Amino acid sequence: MDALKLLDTPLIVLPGMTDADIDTQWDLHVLRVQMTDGFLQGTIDPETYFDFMAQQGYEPEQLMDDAEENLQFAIQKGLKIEK
Amino acid sequence: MARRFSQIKRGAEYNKGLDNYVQYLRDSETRPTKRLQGGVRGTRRVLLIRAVTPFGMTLSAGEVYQVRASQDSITGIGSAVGTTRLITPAPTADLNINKKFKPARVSAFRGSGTASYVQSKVTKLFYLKYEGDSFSLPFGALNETEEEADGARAVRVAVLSVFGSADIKRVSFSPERVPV
Repeated sequence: MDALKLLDTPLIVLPGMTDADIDTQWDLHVLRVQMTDGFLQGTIDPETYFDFMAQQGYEPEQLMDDAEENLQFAIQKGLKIEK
Repeated sequence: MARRFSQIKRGAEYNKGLDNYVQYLRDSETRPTKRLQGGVRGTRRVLLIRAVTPFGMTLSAGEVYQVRASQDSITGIGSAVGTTRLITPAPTADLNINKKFKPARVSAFRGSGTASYVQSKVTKLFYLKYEGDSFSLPFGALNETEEEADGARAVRVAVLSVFGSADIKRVSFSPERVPV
């Protein structure tokens, strides 16, 4: 399991979204993936990362809750986490 | 209140969850195991050998990198990824095997439209779980000049198209990691 999946912020497609909306959201998703990767690799400091994610609508506390839940799931399932 | 602290309103709920979590960690030695409880064992996923052309490496003609892909995901979104991005290698293929190489990967979820509240074993809090199928497949470049971002976008468009009119759809992408 990729460590990126612990802090997953996927593109969510909702009914009524146009192709242009989906494209915009996809670009933001890719940006979030790059930021998360940088954070996990240690090239982006936590403060910058969490500020960025807060601007993207992901509350840091919620994000860490989700990450912890995902981590717990991975441990329960015996998944190996790769950075 | 700043947006990033608005969760504080749920403090009471989280406090209960935290107590249960601490208890869960304390019980780890004495918690009944599956050996005592029994139950149904899930089906083990079948992983198949496939190959990709990496985005970030220049290879000689015909050279590819080995990856693994689950049978379920190939059935679910294999047609969206296509057989050029995820190759079934011939026995004579020039196959590189490097565990440090991690291919770009698309993960997708197609909701069935129903959701139910289930209880976390760890925090004992209830959370909303959407029923549906999850798929995850590695993919490579279509040709030597394709950029990773373009490839990811093309795969995303194809996956959403395969999912059709499902109410809940989620797609995410993990970038390729090339060994250095």
